[in-house]
Amino acid sequence: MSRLALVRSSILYNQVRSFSYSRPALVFARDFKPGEYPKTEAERRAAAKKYGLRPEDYEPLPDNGLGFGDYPNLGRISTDMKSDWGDYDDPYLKRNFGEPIHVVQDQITADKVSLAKTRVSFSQIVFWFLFGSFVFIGLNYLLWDKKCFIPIAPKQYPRNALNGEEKHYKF
Amino acid sequence: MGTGNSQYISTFTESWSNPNVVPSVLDKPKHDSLEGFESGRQERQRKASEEDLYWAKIPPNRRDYCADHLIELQRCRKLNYPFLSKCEHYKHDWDHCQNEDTILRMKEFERERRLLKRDERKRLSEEAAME
Repeated sequence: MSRLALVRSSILYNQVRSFSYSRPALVFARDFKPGEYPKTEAERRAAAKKYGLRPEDYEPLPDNGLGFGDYPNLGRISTDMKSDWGDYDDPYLKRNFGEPIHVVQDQITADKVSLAKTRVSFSQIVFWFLFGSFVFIGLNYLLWDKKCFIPIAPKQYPRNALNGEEKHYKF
Repeated sequence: MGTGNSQYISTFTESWSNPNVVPSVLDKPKHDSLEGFESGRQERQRKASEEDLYWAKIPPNRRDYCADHLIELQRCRKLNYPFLSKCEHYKHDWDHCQNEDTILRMKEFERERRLLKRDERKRLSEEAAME
């Protein structure tokens, strides 16, 4: 579900950027726009060569309206999941020269979104949040009229004893 | 709070189950202050006058039976500023007075609580006798 959110938000980002006044209209620069989804074997080999992949490694995203044409699917690997100790030409992107760039690389750099499996699943988060909130609200509802207090008599002020109604004594 | 019956907690847990046995923390006590004291009780005296309190600018929540010690303390602090450790004697006097006042309030609470329990016992024995 979150991968879908990333892909859709990537499209939205591109759309938003294309409507802003400070950037050029096409976000995929004209020369770098991905081609059509490859239907024949020859088109696949040409696309693989274009992106610097071997034909057996090349796999475009499915053509279901959420794809990117013939751009390859490089897997759910974000930059922080790659090894920190590798010898990269570009250490920020952890990428060597000629390596294909992920379609949403600008979102999955090491200081942004990570695609690693979380220790706590989304359903767990929802469950414990609702559990805690209902327990809290329930306890408040049940114990609202039951007060705790320090067992001590109210403080005695001399101004209340001057008119004679209240009198303050020692023990 | 280590041992068995902690009266601190049982006071407010009793107020949930049996509220007419626990005295009120906010209102005046229901029973007469002189009930049960054959030789009467000493009245509390306030030594500071209204005028003294006014000129010393004591806030209303501090104008209690310890206000005279407070006036002396403030005077000492004003004279000796910034060497406020010279006023420890007056501070101890005021603190001691406040401590006595708190203990007196606790005693009042306990007295009221025992009187209420006594009333409850009488009421229950009357109801048992009527049946």
